[in-house]
Amino acid sequence: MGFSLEIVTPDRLVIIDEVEKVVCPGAEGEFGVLPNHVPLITKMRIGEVRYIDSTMKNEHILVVTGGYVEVTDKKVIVLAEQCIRARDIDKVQEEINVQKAEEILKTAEKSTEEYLNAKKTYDLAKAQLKALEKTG
Amino acid sequence: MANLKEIRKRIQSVKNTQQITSAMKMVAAAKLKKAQERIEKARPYADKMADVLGSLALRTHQKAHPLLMCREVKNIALVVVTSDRGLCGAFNQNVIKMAEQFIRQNRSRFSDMLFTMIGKKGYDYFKIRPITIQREYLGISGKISYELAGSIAENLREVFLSANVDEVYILYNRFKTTISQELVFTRLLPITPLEVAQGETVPGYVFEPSDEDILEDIIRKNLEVQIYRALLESEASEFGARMTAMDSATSNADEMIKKLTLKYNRARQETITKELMEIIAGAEAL
Repeated sequence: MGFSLEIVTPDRLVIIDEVEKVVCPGAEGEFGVLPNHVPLITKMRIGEVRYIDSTMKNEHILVVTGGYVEVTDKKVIVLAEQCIRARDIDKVQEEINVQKAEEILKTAEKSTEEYLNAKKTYDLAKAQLKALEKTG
Repeated sequence: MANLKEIRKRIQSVKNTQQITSAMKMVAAAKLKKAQERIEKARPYADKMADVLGSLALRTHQKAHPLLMCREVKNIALVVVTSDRGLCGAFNQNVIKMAEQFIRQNRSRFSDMLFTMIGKKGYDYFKIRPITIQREYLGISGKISYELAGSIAENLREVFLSANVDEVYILYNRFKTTISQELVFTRLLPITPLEVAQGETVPGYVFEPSDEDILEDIIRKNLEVQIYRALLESEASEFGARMTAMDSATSNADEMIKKLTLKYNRARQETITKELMEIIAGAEAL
């Protein structure tokens, strides 16, 4: 018995699917959801959402940049700020982003806006590259 | 018999008006396309957010956060969303009529009603009437942004938290299709819990990291998202309504031009006939 997973971002509906298992990047660490999980609501950090769909039993990987997850007995709703599918990731571009961000992180002062933005870009690009490695 | 010159002048003026209406229709159609795309993209998120919040309100004690608190209702606030410009059929009238009706029916129920007017049309109508407008947002056409929704949300939060009002409602046109809008009247604050079948027990949530952290954040965000959605819905509806209104104005003008042309031709023929008769009569007299 699966349950339904819905992922939305402010500018689109990413997926609605029947799934067997979901793993989300919760604020307190990654957590997995199987059917009949206890009701839960949490913030997300930048990271991967992985799920296994019920029909094909394939694993899908998406990169999200924060937001919220709500888990109820029948449904998991992911309200992400941004969501990128593994197959849409541009490897070259993300590697460039990592480099650029690294340079800024070295020079910029901590907790300035510039630093925080660079940190975000860095984390997001890293998360995407990691997701790419997994999907091969 | 109508004067030929007069008829010709009327035809010309109808034609000029038609040019304007058909241009406005085209502009509205182009803007509608963009606005429709925007609202259709924003809807899933707003819907899901509302679902999550409904479930949250159901599973959390209302004392957990001030914006979940249902107090005894003495005063209310109502946000009325209209457009800045007219010439869009019954678009604004529908909103105004419904707001008026609400005021009439509930005047005795609440001791005070505070209004927030979004859009010039609603503001112009209500500013000379005996109601309290606590804030107005004018000239926002084409400038709808998430930041604007944020500042409206902030204002409403303050009004609600300062206990000036116990409930906040919003009234706007929801975009259905180009030719139809639907009035929506819904409660923004406090958050309305989802309804469950009687006897069903609903387990509470586990919050991570902590309930204060999440509640404050997500409720604030939800209010912004819902207002943003209302603004976008209203904008798309406005363009749809204007396009429809201008389309029927253009075809009405067509109709009118046809009738006037017929009349003009008849009058012209009549003059010619009359002149001929006069000449023939003149010739016979010779």
